[in-house]
Amino acid sequence: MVLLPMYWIIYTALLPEELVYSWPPRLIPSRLMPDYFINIFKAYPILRWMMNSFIVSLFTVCISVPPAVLAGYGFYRYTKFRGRSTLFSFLFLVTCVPPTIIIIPYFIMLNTWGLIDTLIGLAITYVSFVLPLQVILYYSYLFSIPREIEEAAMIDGASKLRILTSIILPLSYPGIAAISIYAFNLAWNEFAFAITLLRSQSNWTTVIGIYSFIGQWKMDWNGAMVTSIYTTIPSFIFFFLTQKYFIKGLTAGALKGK
Amino acid sequence: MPNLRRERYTPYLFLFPAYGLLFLLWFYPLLYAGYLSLYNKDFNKPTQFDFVGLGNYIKFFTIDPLALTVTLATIIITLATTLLSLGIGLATAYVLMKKRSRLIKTLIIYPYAVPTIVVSLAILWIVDPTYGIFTYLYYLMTGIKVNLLSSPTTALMTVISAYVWKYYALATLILLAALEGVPQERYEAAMIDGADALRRFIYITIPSIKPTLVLLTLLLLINGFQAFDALYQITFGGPFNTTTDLVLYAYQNAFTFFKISYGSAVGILSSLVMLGVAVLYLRVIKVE
Amino acid sequence: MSSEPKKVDRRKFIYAGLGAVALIAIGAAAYVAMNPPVVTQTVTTSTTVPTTSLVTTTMPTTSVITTTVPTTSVVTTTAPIPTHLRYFTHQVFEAGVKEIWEDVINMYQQRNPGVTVELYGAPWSKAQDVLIVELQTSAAPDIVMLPWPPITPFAPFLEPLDDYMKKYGWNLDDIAYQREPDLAVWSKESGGDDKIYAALHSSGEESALIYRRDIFKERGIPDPQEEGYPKWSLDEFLNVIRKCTYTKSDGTKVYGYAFPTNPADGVSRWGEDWVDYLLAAGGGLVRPEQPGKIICGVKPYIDANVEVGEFMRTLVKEELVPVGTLKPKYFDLQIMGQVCMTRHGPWQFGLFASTVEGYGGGHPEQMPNVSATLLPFFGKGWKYADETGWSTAFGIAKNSPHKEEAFKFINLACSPEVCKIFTEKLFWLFCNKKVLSPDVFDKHPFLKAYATAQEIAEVHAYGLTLPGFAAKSTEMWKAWMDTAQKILYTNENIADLYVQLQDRLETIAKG
Repeated sequence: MVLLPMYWIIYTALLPEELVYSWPPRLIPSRLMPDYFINIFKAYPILRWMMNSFIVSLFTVCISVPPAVLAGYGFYRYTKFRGRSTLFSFLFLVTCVPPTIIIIPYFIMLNTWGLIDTLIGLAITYVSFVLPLQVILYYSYLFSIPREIEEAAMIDGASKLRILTSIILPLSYPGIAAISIYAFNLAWNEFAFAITLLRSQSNWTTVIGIYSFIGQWKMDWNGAMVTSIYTTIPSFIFFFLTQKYFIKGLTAGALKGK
Repeated sequence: MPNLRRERYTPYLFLFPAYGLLFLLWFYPLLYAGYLSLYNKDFNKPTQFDFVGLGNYIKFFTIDPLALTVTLATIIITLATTLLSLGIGLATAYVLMKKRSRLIKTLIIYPYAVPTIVVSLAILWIVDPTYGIFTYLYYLMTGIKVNLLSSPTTALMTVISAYVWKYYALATLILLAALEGVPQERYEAAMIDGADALRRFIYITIPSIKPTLVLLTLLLLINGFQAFDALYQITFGGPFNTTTDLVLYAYQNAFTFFKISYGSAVGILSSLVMLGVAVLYLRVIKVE
Repeated sequence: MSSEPKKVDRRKFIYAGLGAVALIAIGAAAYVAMNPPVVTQTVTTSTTVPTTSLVTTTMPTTSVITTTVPTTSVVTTTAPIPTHLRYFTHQVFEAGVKEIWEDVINMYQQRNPGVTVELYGAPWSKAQDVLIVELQTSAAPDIVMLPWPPITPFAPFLEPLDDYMKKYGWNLDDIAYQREPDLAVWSKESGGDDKIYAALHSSGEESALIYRRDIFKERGIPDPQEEGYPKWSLDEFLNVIRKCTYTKSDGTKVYGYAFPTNPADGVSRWGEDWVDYLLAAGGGLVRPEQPGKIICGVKPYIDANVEVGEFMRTLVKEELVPVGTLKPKYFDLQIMGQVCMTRHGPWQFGLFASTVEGYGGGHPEQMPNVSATLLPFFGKGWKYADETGWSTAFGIAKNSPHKEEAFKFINLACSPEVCKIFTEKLFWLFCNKKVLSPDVFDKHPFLKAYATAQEIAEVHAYGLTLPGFAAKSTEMWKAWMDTAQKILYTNENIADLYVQLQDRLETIAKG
């Protein structure tokens, strides 16, 4: 059941067009058409779409992670300052607002700033969506780091809190990895804002590209599935790379635990 | 000696980048949505724009015939998605815990990495009453050709399974990381004490990963509550609005029926409800 | 204890930071490289304008922005105003159609030096949402192709076209089908007599009712085709449906009515036709203070008509439509309301046939004697903004700074010249009489021909299975469209043309 959709996606991508609509549906197709995997690059600017998606996602991650880390640490380290609970609740409030109803004001805002149809404008929008949850996630993650290390460093005279962050930071790689994955994934797969805030076809992201295969009357299943396979590859690469930090951070933590 | 005066301001310094961005970007949208919800703007009746105060909100609670259905659907979808994702995720993570293969650990994230439209298309095709593989298998078993999307119960189940398919992967990944962080000695100690696998699981595993569990549940709750994409793409509200959740309902009101003020009101209402749920949840957890 | 890891980790931290900065720099550089400022010199003498491709050779050319610069030294009487128009259409997502629009844009740019047109849009399913967002702001497109026939929600943001139409000589009588408001009309108070033309139609199709003649005969219902089209009131229509709903002797229920396409809707996506029906029959608007009225669940008409709601509710309450259970629903399709888009002919027939099957109606081979006619409301006329079929309409945003140039574009897009391009390349048919041969349109002959053609396209008549039909549908479609073109542009006898079409379809089926 779990693998079925995955199998079906690859399966449809390989099918020749007329076999897509067939009854009874066969698990093993009688004919395969793998050349569409290559030909599709000639027909549609897939690489450009992926580049755009990649730029947007990268910008989102890079712009959102540092403030999130700082803010998360700020909440963790300082437990009493004025307005703390209000500010924290604001995070929750913002997380809970469904993005679909605020699409109009976002459009108006970005239009005023001249950022419509730019990839960076879209990235900024995504930043505003992921930032609150990132702060909350990172904040919670920090609790799993043993306090002794931090206290030791403070006693050692590391009064500058920035030095503290260079200790906390390496220990919290899994946390950073988690919030990066979250931001990357949201930016990579988001559609509603992408289609509204972007215009020119040269700025299309891969998700918009997939939608372009769904016509009003016809649908190009092969194209959609092939593109979606190509879409998931960069996500995989990103996950794969961040996996390293996951494990590294964990083993470091485990060693210190002794 | 640390400068005490500076110490007082440093928390704000830490928070400044994030909150600066947030205020910059969210200030106007929140105001706009709130402002709109207090009026009765409707694109179908262009000349009307009267101040109705809390009228839209009252309307939701009293007059709107769909309010109850929608709220119920939201609750069902949220709870089912969260519990199922968590359960399946935990089971999968537990099974995968012992394995060393990094490849498998990367592959399990596949459902989460796939754009929602692809999942929706896949589901639509699988349950398609004419060509779907599910329909075919069911037909082989029972001789009936069913249409899963035309009945409220099964449509709900279909949509929930789409989300669970997507989110159980996230749950697995996060829980896997958490499970592997549990120090091995605790298990060994428990085994020496003669605890069997089940006891070990309940008394060692769960408490050790408690923070992660709490967080993950919160994440799943929020995402489940705001479930929109797959609902929109698979059923668009379902047979007679039975698979509409609050977010989709807000969207429908705003963009489909063009009652944008009412849509904004429903949206804000759903945010407040979600906020309430989250706060409640955290309070309950902290008490334990 | 903490000193050693601190050093190592700080270095790693710095590396990570540098890496991130490097990535951002690469990303930014790539971004800039991808989007250089675009200016191309084009030759005004050639008919096709070369468009720039932005980066690599693997990408097809995208004609996003082109500027035309007159290279000849001809002195023009007025200096061209550098104007940039933006044209929003969902058809930018339809392969084949997008290219035609690019050609039309080139035509327009050649004829109007100094004006450039940018083509963009959103997929059809999202076009309405995106358009509503854009139209409210100063970033609105100048020229808008409305993705749905009903324009009421868009009309507040569109510029009234009355003056432009007068200026450019648009005549209502030029539009076919004898529909009362043939251009999209938006009445100020949804019922008033002020006619403000907010959009101009260029293509149109009819909605059809598909029914089975043998069942009608069996149940004693007069065949609507004998009168041209059914002249039922809503209650009469309900009675027809009731008559067609019964339980067979073996206990299986036969439903009188089914909605097409997405069964999960419960209500037809094309339900707005029913709204028009009822509006035409004199229905009113639902007041918000009337609770408990069922809602259509379809696009802009949630607030419309008590009677539509009642109609739907009756259908559901009396179980005249198959709505959701897992129990088997065997029924022979009796009546089905379906938009059969004329421009797609047999292909669309295949689509609704598969919907039939989705309702458990058995394989299309078991659908004898299916016929088609117009939805019952046709001919009663209506006063409101909305359409009985499907059409493409063009509007100009109220916020546009270049309305005159925008209307010139619309003028071109709806002109016979451009309509012919669409017809020839895509087999689309237009409601602009200037495109059509005048004597062809006589008491809706096209519509009658359409219904007959539907009959001819019966799947079972050719012994085809549904997949087989899908495989041949393109050919059949082309055959059908060739016939349609002949009807439009020649004076051949329609009956003869249809006989020829039938032969041709049979050959394709057997081949």
